[in-house]
Formats: sequence, C-alpha cells, structure tokens
Amino acid sequence: MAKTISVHSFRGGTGKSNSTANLASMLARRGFRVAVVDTDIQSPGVHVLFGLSEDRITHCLNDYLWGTCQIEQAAYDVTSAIADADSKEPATGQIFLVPASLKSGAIGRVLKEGYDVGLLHDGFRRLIQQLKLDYLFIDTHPGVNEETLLSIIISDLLILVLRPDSQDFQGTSVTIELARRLEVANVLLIVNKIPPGMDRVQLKQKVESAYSAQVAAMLPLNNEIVNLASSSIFAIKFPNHPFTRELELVAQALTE
Amino acid sequence: MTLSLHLVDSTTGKIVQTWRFKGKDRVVIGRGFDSDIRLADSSVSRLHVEFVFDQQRGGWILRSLGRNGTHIEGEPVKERLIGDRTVFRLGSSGPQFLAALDQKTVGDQDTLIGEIDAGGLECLVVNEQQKAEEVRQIVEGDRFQLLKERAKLLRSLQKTPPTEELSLPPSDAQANNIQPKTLP
Ligand SMILES: Nc1ncnc2c1ncn2[C@@H]1O[C@H](COP(=O)(O)OP(=O)(O)OP(=O)(O)O)[C@@H](O)[C@H]1O
Ligand SMILES: [Mg+2]
Repeated sequence: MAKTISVHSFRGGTGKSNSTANLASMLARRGFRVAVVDTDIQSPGVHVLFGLSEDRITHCLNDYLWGTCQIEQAAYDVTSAIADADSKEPATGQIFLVPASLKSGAIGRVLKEGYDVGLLHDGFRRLIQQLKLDYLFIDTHPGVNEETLLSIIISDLLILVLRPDSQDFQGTSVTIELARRLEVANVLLIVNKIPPGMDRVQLKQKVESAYSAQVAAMLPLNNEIVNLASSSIFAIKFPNHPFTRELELVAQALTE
Repeated sequence: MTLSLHLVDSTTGKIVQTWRFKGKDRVVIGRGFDSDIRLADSSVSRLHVEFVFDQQRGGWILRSLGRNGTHIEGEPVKERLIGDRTVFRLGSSGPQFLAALDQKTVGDQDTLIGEIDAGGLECLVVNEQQKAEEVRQIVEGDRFQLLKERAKLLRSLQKTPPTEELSLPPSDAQANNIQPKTLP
C-alpha cells in the first residue's frame, strides 16, 4: 500500500519544500517509487529544487484540476536530480514531480474558481496507481485553508515543519488541534532552522510536551543550504553532512 | 583572501563583534597576548585555534590547537578547509564564531537567524486560551463541519480501488467547489 504524506507548516518559509524534496529523494535513493505533488498553487517552488526547468513543463496540476489532462500527464520524471555523480550505479528507485503552474494567470484562475477537492483526491489515487508509487508527497501552501486541510485528511501521515519562534509555536498548536479534530492518525514534527546556540535537548522536550507529538528531526540553521544547494537536493549533494543524517531519521521513520 | 571572523551571541544568533583580516596568511584566536583575537575566557586556550591560508588549495585551513578542542556542527575538528559561513565553537560550550570568506557576504548588522524572532527558548509557549479560541472559531464554522463529513466519505473510499463509479459522487455545489479561501 502506498503511503501519502502531506508536508505542511503554519507559516511560510519554514522549509516545507526543502524537507519534502529531500525526504522524497532519500526514499527514491533507497529504491522506492516516489512522487511529489506541488499543491502550493499560490506560490509553487519545489520544481526548482529538482531542477525541472519551466520550458519542460507542458502540463501541470492546474491543467488536471481543470480537466484538460490526466494527472499522470503532468508527472515529470526527475530521477536525474537524485543521480549520484560519483557512483556509476544507476538509481534503483524513481522520482516524479507534478508541478503547479507558474503562469500568473493560471494561478489566479484556480484561486478565483476554487478547485474540486474530490478531484484532487481522485488524482492522487490515480497517480499512485498509474506510476505504481510507494510514496506520494504533497507539498502544501502554508496556513490553515481548506484545500490544505483536505490534503491532510487524505494523507496517511502529516509532517508539520516549524521554526523555533513564538509565532510558529502558537500557530502550530492550532494546526495540530485541527488535525486531531479531523482524526488525522499520524503527525510527525520537524523543527527546522534551529539557530546556533539554542539548547536542542530542551527544545525537543519543549516541543514534544507542548504538542504531544513526536519530533522526527531537529534541523539546524544550515547556511550551506542557502549558499550551495538552492537548485539541487542537499541530501544528495552532501550525503554525509550532519544535516542529511538528521533528515535520514525521518526517512527511516517513513519506511517503518 | 580576506577572512572575517564574527563573534556570535549563541542565545540570539546575533553578531556581536567582527574582525576582518586582510593581507594576512595566519590568524590566531586564543587567550595569549599575541593572539589576533584575544579572548579572556577560561574555556579558551592560550593558543586555541589558528587559520592558515593554503595557497595551493586556495582557502583557509582551520587548525585546532587548544585543549578543549574546536567544534563544527557539534563535532570536534582537528583540521579542516573551511567554507564560507562556517560556524565553529571553541570548546564544546565556549564562544561561537562565524567565519566568512568574502567580506560582502555578512554585514556587521546581519544575524544568522534571518527572519526568526530570536528570543530563545523562553518565548516558546502556547497560549492555551488563544489557541482554544482560534480552534473554536474554525471548527464551529459550517465549512469545517462539511470538511469533516467529506473526510469520512473520502476515507471510506480510500479503502476501495479507484474506479469511475466509486469516484466522489457530485454532492451539493458548495461541497464540490470549496473555495481555497482562508478559514473561517
Ligand atoms: N535548515 C535550514 N537552514 C537554512 N536555510 C534553510 C533551511 N531550510 C530551508 N532553508 C531555506 O529557507 C528558504 C525557505 O525554504 P522552503 O522553500 O523549503 O520553505 P517553504 O516552507 O516551502 O516556503 P513556502 O511557504 O514559501 O513554500 C529557502 O531559501 C531554503 O533554502
Ligand atoms: Mg514551499
């Protein structure tokens, strides 16, 4: 049975897309068949990390939602983004990306007309079936909104990303409470952008006790991400970096 | 080959002091009088860490010399060719620095934390009353109730393979065309 995983955060810029792309890549490197769907129609971004250039994109999630294509026609094989330059072995898994449209008019249209959430659900299921997926990741738009709550509902697991600051801390508590009211069974937390010097042990305890949920990874503020890897997958470029090893904990949890 | 070393306040991530070294090929941090950066801290050795410019590799080598070691990402390092914006700590809990190789990359007023409203761990509290109020406002709305019903339906469908007949029946227009607007 394929696992569907929503990655969400209360505020923007917490590292959802980055975490999604890295986790999906790690699982594909372990031999699984993985897809990432960018449902952040208002501010899509994950395609950049996979190096999927805009002129290669002929169909996207928006087209599927308007009924002008099948969802698998909007799925792009981005396995080359996870190829290890040093190793001659081909990657055994495969990774696909369903991007959201980058044309501003297209985005406006979806926002104005709304989209049929049942259609989104059907699309995910069809994608899993057509691409024989083991994992489907949903990169979401931040904040509490209906389509995100729906993505969460139809997922097996919700990963919430938060930064250790007061606004995120409060907002995440509301999001978790809503997820519980919607009977979402599994919630994992990723604390990202932890500033140097902050006590990680205390922070972890604090987060876990505030939300009664498990912290799967504690990721430091990592300037190398900003400097080197904005258009590539950090975990693939730096497989032995402590940052990558911390994220491996989440990937491991997803395979269990 | 300018090397900038920024002393970082480890609770806020803010840069508290900056030293820039131009035209030097060796820079020493320590407690000793002849250090380029002199720190009167008991966890710092007289000669704690040195940076040597390696012409061949075209970069700065960090070499730890002190008794308490030098840590990068929590791991002790003996010697390393450092990249731009490397954060290192003297001893396991001593002063923390940011090394920048291009003086333009970090301004004196910059913080490592960027947009985070750094206030340390004390700021991380959940205001339970505010949370309860926000949750109440959302869940009492019609749309949330609708969503809950949709959730039940979708979950029951999920257990069966997707076929045309089993895809969502067109329910009332409102339910079928949920606007992506912020709740409530
Ligand atoms: N641990 C980290 N350390 C430093 N920078 C990070 C870290 N994680 C993510 N970033 C950077 O923060 C920025 C935002 O990350 P990302 O796009 O993944 O967030 P997001 O939650 O998807 O944002 P949005 O809400 O806009 O979709 C990016 O520039 C990314 O490179
Ligand atoms: Mg994003």
